[in-house]
Amino acid sequence: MSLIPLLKLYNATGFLSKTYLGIWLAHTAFGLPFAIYLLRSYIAGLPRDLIESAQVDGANDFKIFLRIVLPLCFPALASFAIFQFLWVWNDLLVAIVFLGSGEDQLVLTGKLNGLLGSRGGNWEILTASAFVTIVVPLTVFFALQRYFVRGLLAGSVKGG
Amino acid sequence: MADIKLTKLNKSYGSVHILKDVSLDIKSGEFMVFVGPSGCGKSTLLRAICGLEAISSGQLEIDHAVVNEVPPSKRGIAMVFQSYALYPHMSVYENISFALENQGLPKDEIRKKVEKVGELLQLTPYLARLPKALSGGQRQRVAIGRAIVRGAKVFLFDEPLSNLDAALRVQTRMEIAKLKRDMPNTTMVYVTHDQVEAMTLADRIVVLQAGRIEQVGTPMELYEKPGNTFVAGFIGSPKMNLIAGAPAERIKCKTMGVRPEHLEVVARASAGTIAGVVEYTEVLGSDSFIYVKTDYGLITARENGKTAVKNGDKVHLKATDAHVHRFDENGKRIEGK
Repeated sequence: MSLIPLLKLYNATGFLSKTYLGIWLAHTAFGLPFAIYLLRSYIAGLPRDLIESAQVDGANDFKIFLRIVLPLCFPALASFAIFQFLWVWNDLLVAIVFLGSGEDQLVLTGKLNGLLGSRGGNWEILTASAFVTIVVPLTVFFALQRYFVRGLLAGSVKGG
Repeated sequence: MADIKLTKLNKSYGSVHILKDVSLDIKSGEFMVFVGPSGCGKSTLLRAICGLEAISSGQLEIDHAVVNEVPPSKRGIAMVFQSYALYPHMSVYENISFALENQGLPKDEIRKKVEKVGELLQLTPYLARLPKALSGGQRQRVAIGRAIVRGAKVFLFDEPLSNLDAALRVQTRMEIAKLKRDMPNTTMVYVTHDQVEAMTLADRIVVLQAGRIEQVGTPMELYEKPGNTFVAGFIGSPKMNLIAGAPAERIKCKTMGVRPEHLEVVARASAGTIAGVVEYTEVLGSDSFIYVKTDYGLITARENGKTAVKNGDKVHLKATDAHVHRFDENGKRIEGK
């Protein structure tokens, strides 16, 4: 529903339509609500003592964020990274709306879609190539999945 | 050297008034313990001294300088949290060095200081480990190490032993006492609800109730001369017996206070004895507690070793005169005999 007004806005600005910058912005904006929701609740759940301890240790707010909060958020960041990556990787709609259809601007899902037309009869090629495209998401998942394991906070406070 | 002086300190959260006109002088090098029941404001008071809670009104001085608005890191204090609050993603070494790193000290100086503290607290073999690979006692030592390494003038402890098991608690208590002996010039403020910790560690104890100071004194002063019925009932285990009515009137007061250890269980009535029936006995081996149901409520007596009385026995309780406390209708202590 939001695609049409957004596209109109892009076309009105001129420099955002049919560019990579435009689709980056669109995907980022669509991902933000989830990111904020996830990270806020995760950060709010960090033990307050840790932050206070860092304050007493003389770290300023920025340093507390950088050295304490950010490293401890890694599991949440990793989960979000996987979700967002999968969403963007699988996306076809946003891509065909905001990107051109030129050879250099066609995303992978667009290309797969294209196969349907050019090799309509050859389903085995289509399914095989779709299967091959899951290699990248799998790589991302296995690279980040160890951060899913809970217990990064273990040892900091009681019962940990 | 660091005195701490609190003048009419108040703290409220909205309409909830937590600390009410708290005035207190903590002398340099003193081991001060705050005790009180849950929710009495003792932790809030400690956090106000630390700077983690803003002060609503009143004045806080450390080392003769007003520090109401000074951030925690600039107050020359170190705090040991109840939960230890170790940084879980950093090794023991990094945990201890974090404060020094924030001060911008050169790397080799940091290394020297951290290693010295590690040696002092027997943490040297664990410096490369993460907190999750340490036992409760070791984590506690790391938390204390973080405080020591900064060379703070004031140490604040917020119930540091409450997460340890009984045996480790006794051991760590001794370590803290030793730490204080090794650092005679460091002022230490310690919050606990455990009166054994308070009695054994403190130079002076502050008893708090509902955000007010009830009494300040050495452990023995509080034990021997409690200023009011609250302190009388709070310090000492089992609790002091507070008896109102005829026995109190006999010695011209509203409430008579006598500790279980100063009550004698006798077979025959005489002047001033209180009659009752034994409700329950607890035999601990070294001593026994005898709970006696009387006209003035349940009274606890303590006897050395095993006791001969049994449940249901009719007994008389005799107070040793020298150890009877007298309180007036406001619960204030009446001095003299």
